[in-house]
Amino acid sequence: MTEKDEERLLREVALQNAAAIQAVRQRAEQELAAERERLRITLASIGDAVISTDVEGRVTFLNGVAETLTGWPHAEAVGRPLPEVFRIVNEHTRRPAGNPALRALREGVVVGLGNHTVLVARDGTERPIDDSAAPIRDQAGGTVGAVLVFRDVTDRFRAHETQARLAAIVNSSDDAIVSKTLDGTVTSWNAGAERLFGYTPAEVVGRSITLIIPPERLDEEQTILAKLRRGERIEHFETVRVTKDGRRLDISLTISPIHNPEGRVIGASKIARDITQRVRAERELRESEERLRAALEELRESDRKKDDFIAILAHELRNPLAPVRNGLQKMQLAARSPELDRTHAMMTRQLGHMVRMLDDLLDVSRVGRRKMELCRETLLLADVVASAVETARPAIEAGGHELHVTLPDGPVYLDADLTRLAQVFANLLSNSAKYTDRGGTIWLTASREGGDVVVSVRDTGVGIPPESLPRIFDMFSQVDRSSGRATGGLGIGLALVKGLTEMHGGTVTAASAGPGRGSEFIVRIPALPDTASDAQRAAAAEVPALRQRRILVVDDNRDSGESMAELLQLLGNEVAVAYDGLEAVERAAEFRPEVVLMDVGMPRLNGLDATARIRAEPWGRSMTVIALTGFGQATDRVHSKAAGCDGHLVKPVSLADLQKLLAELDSAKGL
Amino acid sequence: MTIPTEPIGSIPRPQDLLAALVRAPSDGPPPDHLYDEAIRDTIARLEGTGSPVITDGEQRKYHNFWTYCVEGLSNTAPDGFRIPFAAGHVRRMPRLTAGPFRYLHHADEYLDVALRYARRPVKQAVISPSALSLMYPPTEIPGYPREQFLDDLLREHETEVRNCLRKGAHCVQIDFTEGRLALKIDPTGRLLRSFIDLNNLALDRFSPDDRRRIGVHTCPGGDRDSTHSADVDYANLLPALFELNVENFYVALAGEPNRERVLKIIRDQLQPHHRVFVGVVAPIDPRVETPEEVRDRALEATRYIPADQLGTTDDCGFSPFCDDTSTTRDTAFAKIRNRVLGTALAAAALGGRA
Repeated sequence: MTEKDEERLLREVALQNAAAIQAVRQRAEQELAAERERLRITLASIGDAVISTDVEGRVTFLNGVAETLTGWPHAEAVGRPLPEVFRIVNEHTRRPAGNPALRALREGVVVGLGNHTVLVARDGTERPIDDSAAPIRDQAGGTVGAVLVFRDVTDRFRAHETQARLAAIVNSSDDAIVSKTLDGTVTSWNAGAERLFGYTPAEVVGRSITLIIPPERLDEEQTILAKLRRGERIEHFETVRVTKDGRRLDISLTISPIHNPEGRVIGASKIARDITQRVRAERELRESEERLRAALEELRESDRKKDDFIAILAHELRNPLAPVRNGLQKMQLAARSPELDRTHAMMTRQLGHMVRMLDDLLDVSRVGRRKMELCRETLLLADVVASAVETARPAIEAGGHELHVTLPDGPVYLDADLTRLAQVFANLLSNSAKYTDRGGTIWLTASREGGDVVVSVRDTGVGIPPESLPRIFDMFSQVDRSSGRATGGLGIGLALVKGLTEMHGGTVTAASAGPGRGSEFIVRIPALPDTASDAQRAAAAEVPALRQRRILVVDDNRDSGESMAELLQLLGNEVAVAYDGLEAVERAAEFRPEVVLMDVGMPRLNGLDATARIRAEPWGRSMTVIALTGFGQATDRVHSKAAGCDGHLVKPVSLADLQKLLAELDSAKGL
Repeated sequence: MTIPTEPIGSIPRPQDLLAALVRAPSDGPPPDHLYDEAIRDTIARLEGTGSPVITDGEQRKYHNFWTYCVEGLSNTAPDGFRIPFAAGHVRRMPRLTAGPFRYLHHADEYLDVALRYARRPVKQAVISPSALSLMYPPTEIPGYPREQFLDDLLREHETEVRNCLRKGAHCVQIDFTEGRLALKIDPTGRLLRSFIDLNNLALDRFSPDDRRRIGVHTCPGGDRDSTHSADVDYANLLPALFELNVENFYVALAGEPNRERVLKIIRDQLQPHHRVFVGVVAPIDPRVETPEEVRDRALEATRYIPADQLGTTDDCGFSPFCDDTSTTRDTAFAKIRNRVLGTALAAAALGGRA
């Protein structure tokens, strides 16, 4: 090979190398470009804002987040001095904050964030940011620029503010607010806790919460911790805790689990409120209520005893009246001299007066004890008023009063107990008669008002002082007792009026223009519709003629029994008498009466047992047995019926009532 | 005023070592103690010249500054390209026969030894990637493309330079004598362009700080008092040379027929961060330059190069090929001593000292 060939070959190799070098170089440049692109994409993709500068502090790059936060597009920002693009001020002083990137350039050190830094965007929008900057060094370590990384910490800022507010609330709270781990170790202790329990945070934090739990309540902590581990909240758990100086406090605990970001329960916050005062007040209130309840019960018991006493008193007083009435009725049938007639009339009046008083007394007692029952039926108001007027007429006439009765045109039907409703109006009329000076005027005026009937009883009497009106319907309430007016009575008439009216679903009110200016009582009760059926309009049945019967009168009160027997004999009946239950059974077996008037309360064998024995006999099954007793309540009727009685009458029994009952029984048996 | 001054590198080997090297083909490589003694003595004598920066005289580089790293590789053949010198002799390069390409020796191995003996900063010369790139043959090696070879070459070069820097070399000088040769081979400059590109690919792997400790040496070759490319005009080389991404340039100047012309070219290419060490002694010239001559050459350079960017050096190594006996060790040290003295005189003349 010649030297020239060698040189040519060398040139060829060198040029081939040159081509290869160019390829290597291009590849290297491509790799560098790719690396730069990867870096650019990385910076663009990074969640934080990134700005880089050259060594002069001029912007060379900013990523998308930085564009958003500063408001400067990359193309416009590049080449500008950093402070123009990245404008920051101190949140509080509003003065420009030290630019961390420029300091990093100046001092060649990594610069952390400055607190309370606010980024002012190009459009003036302000955001709290967290920033840091570092010098960019070349491979020789020389500073060639700076990189600034920052992020919008508005959310964190707000969270911090919220946390600070919460901390302030916790610190200023009067309640004790404590946090602890799941093993019961105290981790925080606020001023409220220090005030309440006496321990400073330094004395408690890191120690077990059992420090303030009384020994006998240590089990509570285990129960509480078990619930917390299950994530349960404990609300208003009232318990007792011990202060540093040994005092015991009643407290209310609300305990909530504390979750870590993964949702795992890592501890608990507890709010303790001192409820010592409240517990004491509640205890005192409870005791007071118990005392009040006891007093009330005592009062009720006393009231019950009073009512019972009144009932027994009335009953016991009525028993002796029965023979008196029988006697008077017998006398009426027998004696016929003018003198005797007057005496008889007087005795009859006084007896009636006494019976009414006892009836009122017994009735008001029943109303009070809610033992009164109404025998409702369809009635004509006119019949009720007539009955009432008839009852009150003696008193009205005795006072020389003038009575004006005005009723609505056409019939007014009521679903009422004739006796009880008539009693209402009779009592009001009697009351007017009693409290009106002789020769006065009394008006009974009835009218329809919608679905009600309104009955007014007005008089020209002594009137009612305004201060007495609110209590006028109270039991035993009487107006003007102090005036010495000899009105008599027990002061129960109006109470009974009110009770009976209300039992009929009505109301009663009183009005008076004052003393000496008369009174008016207004009763308002529901009326039946005008379209009531004929059946409903049936009036009280006529009392049929009494046919003659064999009657056995049983009563341990000899006077009562014998007087009744004599009365029945006078009416033409065949009568036998027995004085106790055993004798009644024996006499019934011998006498085989059609009707037995059986007293209930008797020695040796009571009336109900005696009835049962009679009914047990073949001859006794068809007998009519009528219970005759001072007890007329539903339960009494049930008992008597259960014993086999066909009817039930309350003593003293009027001849009319007896005749009516017997007629009804005859009718039922087809006689 | 201080004017730094540094040697290029090689110093003629001592006689014992030269004799052993002559016998090497039959007796095997010279024993280590001969190398160590040569290194120790070279360093001692270099330090004796007052040179503030020394080398190990490249005593252990076998066979020369160009092929030391590949001598002995099994995947090379000795029939590579010939480099003709003006004196009529040629130097032959090894040829790569198969991949992969790896250095057998790295220059930092020599630095390790030198640092054991040196009391002054030691610089280390390494061969350029562009010089070694000529090892790849005209036809592609099957299974080992040229691009892969260049990748391996760059990696090996980088490793060598980094190791030297890491181990404490005062600076690393990359011998780029083929730059001027490239223009001789390819006057279009295309080959030189590719050499510059290749070397910059290597230099780009270093930081600016590293590059402050890296320099490039160019000369027309110097072997047996002869050059291979002195006839190539510096005007065609220097603009490309100063594109190399380094801060230090070691430029042979003493042997140039028109130094001022070269200095003007340098002035036109000089960047503020550059420092140019101009050759003030010529190893191929058997005459020992006087300190005054050196001083004058240095002062002459300051008319074109700012004094604070100027340094002095030798035009070339005194014995780039180990078997070169054209210059004696004594002459080499004498020249070096006068370079140091002359540079100091120049500095004094400028109001400072070297």
